Amino acid sequence: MHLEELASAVHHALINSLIDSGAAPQVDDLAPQLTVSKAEAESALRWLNDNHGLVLHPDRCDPWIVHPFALSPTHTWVQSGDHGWWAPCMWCALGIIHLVGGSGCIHTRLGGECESIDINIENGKPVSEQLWVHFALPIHSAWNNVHHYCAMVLPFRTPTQVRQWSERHRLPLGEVVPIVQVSELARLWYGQHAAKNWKKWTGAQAAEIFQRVGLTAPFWRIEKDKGAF
Amino acid sequence: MNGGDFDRRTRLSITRFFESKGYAPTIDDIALMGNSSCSEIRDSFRRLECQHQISLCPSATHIRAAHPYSALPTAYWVESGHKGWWANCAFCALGVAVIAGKSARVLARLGAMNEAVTFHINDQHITPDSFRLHIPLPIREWHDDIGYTCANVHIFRNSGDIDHWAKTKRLPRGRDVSLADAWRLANTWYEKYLDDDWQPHTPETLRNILGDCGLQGAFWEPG
Repeated sequence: MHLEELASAVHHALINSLIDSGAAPQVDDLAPQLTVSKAEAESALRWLNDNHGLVLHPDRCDPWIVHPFALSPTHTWVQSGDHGWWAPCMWCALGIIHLVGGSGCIHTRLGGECESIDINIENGKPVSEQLWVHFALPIHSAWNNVHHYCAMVLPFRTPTQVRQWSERHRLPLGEVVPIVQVSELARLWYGQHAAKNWKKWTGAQAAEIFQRVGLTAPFWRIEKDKGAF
Repeated sequence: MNGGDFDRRTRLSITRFFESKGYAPTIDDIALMGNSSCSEIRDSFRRLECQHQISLCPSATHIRAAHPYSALPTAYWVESGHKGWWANCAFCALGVAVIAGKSARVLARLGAMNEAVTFHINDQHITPDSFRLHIPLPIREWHDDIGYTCANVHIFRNSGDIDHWAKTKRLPRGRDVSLADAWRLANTWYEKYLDDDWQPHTPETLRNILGDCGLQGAFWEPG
């Protein structure tokens, strides 16, 4: 099997295991599941890591983040039915909801501070539309350090609260987007992530998604001819 | 340059800045505090990272974490008076409360899942204290990947919940201690972090701190 084809198969196995059971197989379980050797499975994992299809642990060849899922705890928990998952950020959390059927609850804290919030989503739409999501860093910088990027994608009640938060923590003030718009972004971005023939969005495809959702400011600009985003 | 006491004072300045401001200092901030050059502080930051005293962003110019503080949002928020901080993990959250003067509240969710809880700390007491704090990995392995270690240190209702959490999420199952014992441990671990004569813990001092709390054996051996 060609490496890129195997990488798609690995991605499919990881995402569907996460959806079905709330956890992902480690490489020792992946290899026999895909009837490949452990070395081949690890090659596919490294290919995915190098092409931003997932994030490996820094010290071992095991997945740490398979967007939109985090495989270890974060500040954002998504619950749907009997299963729950950690999300690296609010964009990912909304992506998880779309992947698991469109309804669930996101448990987090506004701005990551003192006020806990349970954000109910029904049929792909936030029940309460009176929330905003802050993206602190421009999208083109996301893969400079994706943990850093995602940690700051948080919900707030108002854009004014985002500005105050940015000053209070001396963290970047980026773009503030209504949660309904972020949910639509998540639907388009992550809607195909469970597909068997999944491929990473190219720069051009990613740029088109942002355009379709109405995110057209320079903050959302991606180089279209840079290959996979 | 062998940093020695210069690095100790840099680390102390970082802690004091975090405690005072509620956010991470830059190289410029610390240079100004100690009347040093930015290049000296930049080199000190790098040495401190090698010593596992702080974690830097990949650019190596910004602090990601200086335990017990996180520069970025986490699952743990600690408030004392009008100040607030993110802590890297549940144990770090107790450490933030110690440094803040032992009067604080810690906001978390059990196992970092759906149930929100608030813990109130008043000097020697944490309430409610009938919970368990889970340490996922032996101490000697913490710095293999400190980000992963801290990501998995959480509070639970009981040991059975930890067993279930670790099994269903395929995460490491380490040791758990009562929240009261964890608070006692955090007190001795972090009590001198603002003092002029603060020194980083050595394996021997850690062994003594852990031993005083009854935490001995291979899992708790600092190495």
